[in-house]
Amino acid sequence: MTDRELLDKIRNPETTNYGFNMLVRTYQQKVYWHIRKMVIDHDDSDDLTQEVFIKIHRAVHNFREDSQLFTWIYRIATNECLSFLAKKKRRFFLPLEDVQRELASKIDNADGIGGDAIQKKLQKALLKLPDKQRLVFNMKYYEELQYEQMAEITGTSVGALKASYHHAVKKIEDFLTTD
Amino acid sequence: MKLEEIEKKNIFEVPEGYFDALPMAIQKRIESQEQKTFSLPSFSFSFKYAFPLLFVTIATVFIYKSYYSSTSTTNLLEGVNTETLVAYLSESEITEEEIIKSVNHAQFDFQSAPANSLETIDFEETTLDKLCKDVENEYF
Repeated sequence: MTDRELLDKIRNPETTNYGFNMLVRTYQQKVYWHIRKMVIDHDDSDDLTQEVFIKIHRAVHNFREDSQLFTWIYRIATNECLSFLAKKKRRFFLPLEDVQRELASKIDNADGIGGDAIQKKLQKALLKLPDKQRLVFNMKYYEELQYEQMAEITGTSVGALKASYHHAVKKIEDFLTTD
Repeated sequence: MKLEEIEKKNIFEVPEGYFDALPMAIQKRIESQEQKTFSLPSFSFSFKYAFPLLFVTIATVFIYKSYYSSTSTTNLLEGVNTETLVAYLSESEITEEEIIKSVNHAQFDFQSAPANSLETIDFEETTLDKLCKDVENEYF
């Protein structure tokens, strides 16, 4: 089902529940993985994913289609992630390193995280990046989004995103080499 | 080490059947939030009116009680005859001066009082002498 069809179904009072259910089924994995790579923990990701879809449910009737449905959903998920991480840092007055260490220990010890040593090392190297740069890296490297799409999601220029990704790759390679 | 040397792989896992159950979990949360939203107006409605109503009730009770207590004292004293009142005042520790001060003289119309009204008062000889001296000292 295309985004257009999904929106038509949601806006029709007779098919709104069915349409929203289809929207969740279409985008749930993309939203979840986008969040999971940022917050690492499954329970946090689950809660945030649900929160994102609740917000979408509340706002979809007013969605003006200035952007694609896909980028609009990604933008909500991205904002939700960044606020969650910012809140986490504020809540316990934790310095950045402590949050980074907490997330790194989850990569080593939490259930539901596989991969070999080098994969885990890459994930821990990623945690050393600022949240927004980590987000840019994930969207480009793992989710293979176009810079134009990323620009729409983040509200940043394509040039700035390219520079950010380039620097992120360099920093990660440095971390992987020195650590 | 170069990034290309590392296999691109998602190392995170989800519990089995997680994505099958997620739409239902989301639907449940939406329904529970909608129920809260529907019950909120009646909650806020009740509080919106309950507090002013409570305030008005308390104020009414307070005003009524204070009015009733002041009028009831007057009513109560009206039922007491003069002898009992004089007997009470003479037994109590209230001095004559205090009684005179507490009387609202404006309430009395001495002009229209009967001419023989003072004759009904039974002063003792010594009290009368003292009163005459006081009047003399005060006014002459």
